[in-house]
Amino acid sequence: MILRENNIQIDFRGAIGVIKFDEPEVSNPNFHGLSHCMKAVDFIVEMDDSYLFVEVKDFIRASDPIDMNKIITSLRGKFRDSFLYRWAEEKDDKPVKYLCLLEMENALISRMMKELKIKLPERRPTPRWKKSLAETCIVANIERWNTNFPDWPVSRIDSEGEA
Amino acid sequence: MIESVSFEKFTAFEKLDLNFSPGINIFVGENGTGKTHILKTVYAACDITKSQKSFAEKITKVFLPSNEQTGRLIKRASGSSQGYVEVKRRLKDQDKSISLRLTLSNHAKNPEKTTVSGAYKQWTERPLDSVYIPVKDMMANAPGFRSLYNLRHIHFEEVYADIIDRAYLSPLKGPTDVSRKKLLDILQGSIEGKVIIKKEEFFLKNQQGELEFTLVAEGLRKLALLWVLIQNGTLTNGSVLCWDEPETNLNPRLMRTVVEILVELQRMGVQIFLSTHDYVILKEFELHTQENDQIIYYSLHRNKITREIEVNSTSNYLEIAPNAIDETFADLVDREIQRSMGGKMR
Repeated sequence: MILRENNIQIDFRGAIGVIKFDEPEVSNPNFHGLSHCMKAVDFIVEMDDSYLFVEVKDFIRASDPIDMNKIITSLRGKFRDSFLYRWAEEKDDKPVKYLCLLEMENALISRMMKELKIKLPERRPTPRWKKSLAETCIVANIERWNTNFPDWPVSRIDSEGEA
Repeated sequence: MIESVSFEKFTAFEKLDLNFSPGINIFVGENGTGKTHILKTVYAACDITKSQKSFAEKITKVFLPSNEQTGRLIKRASGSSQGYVEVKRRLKDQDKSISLRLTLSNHAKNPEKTTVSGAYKQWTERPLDSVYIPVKDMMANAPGFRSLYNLRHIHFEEVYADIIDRAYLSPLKGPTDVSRKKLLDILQGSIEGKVIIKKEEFFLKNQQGELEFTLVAEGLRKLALLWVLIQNGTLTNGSVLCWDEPETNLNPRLMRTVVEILVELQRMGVQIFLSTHDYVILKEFELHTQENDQIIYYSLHRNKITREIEVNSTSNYLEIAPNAIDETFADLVDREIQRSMGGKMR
């Protein structure tokens, strides 16, 4: 099942279902409808044992310098609002994994992943929590993604839609 | 400025040609890909214009092969073999280049058994100030080192004695020009003082008093050394700076200062050669340089099949390939993803 965000596409082979979670099209049954008050991750993918929340951002083509805090705040906001939305939909029956595909160099990925794990926060950060918001979260660029998730290949597509 | 270097069957290189930037030249690559050898070659070629030593002798002293047998600098092979190193230099006020070639066989027992060809006379008649900053700091161990080095055969590459000589040079006379003053101010801000020399011993002097270099953090000594070399005019327009792994013992925060100074020196006309294993240094160069700055990155690596050393060069930081530093981060990212996802993908 292929999903596309701007010029990046991901093939989630073996998924039970995939939706473009921030769907802006009113006629689409997956129309988000609350974009005025809630942020949303790009895709939600249902696997056998989990839901994958997937966010895609292409910084390689961005002209502004990368602002780590701003990105983390944005990634965190999207995740939490999406989590609440899914809770309200009663689609919170499997653990959630947050996969962020950010096109940036490996050294920054490493730092970004560490920050996101702390700020999201992932797992159960306090003994008072009986369940976790995100079972795990990872950050990867296209190269690292394809190395680690060979079954979910990512590719860039040109303006004509050719991979 | 040094324009190019060619090696054939010399130290680690089977055959390698490098064309340099008149500004900043940065060498990256795994251990054993010859980064330091390139720096030492460039330095030896520059130093003989001042020290008036023979090229063969300087190369031998700087590389320090066992028993100072110059022939041991030939790349290891079975039987007899011959190789060379050639350095090309552009003369500052003339529109022409001259070159110097050292040819030797693996049987050469000493520098006299080698051949130097090219414009040796012209080369040594035209002084080219140069400095080589080695990985290990020598400032704290300077007192007595120079006389010991001159009197006895102690086993140190000559770059260690040379750097002390450069640091001992007295400050330039007259008022400090604006560009040098700017650099000295930046460095003084970081080292919080000035450097003074008393009886061959270096001290960091500030309002609290004088602190001997053995008590100064090693990273700060590096900045202090840079301060001294700028203050005494060793690093000035037209000179050459070779710096082997500036990051060693340096707090990552101070790397910003180091790179800022290096980029400014390049703008003043200093040609810079440095080797690094450090992401922060590379990134700082990317952030500090502007369109007019002249910078080339060289990625030294071994050919997967022949195992010989090759080089890729680029002026674009993002195009450095292969990039051993980035690959290290990639490996860290991979292991972190695998751990986060429970060790198995999907």
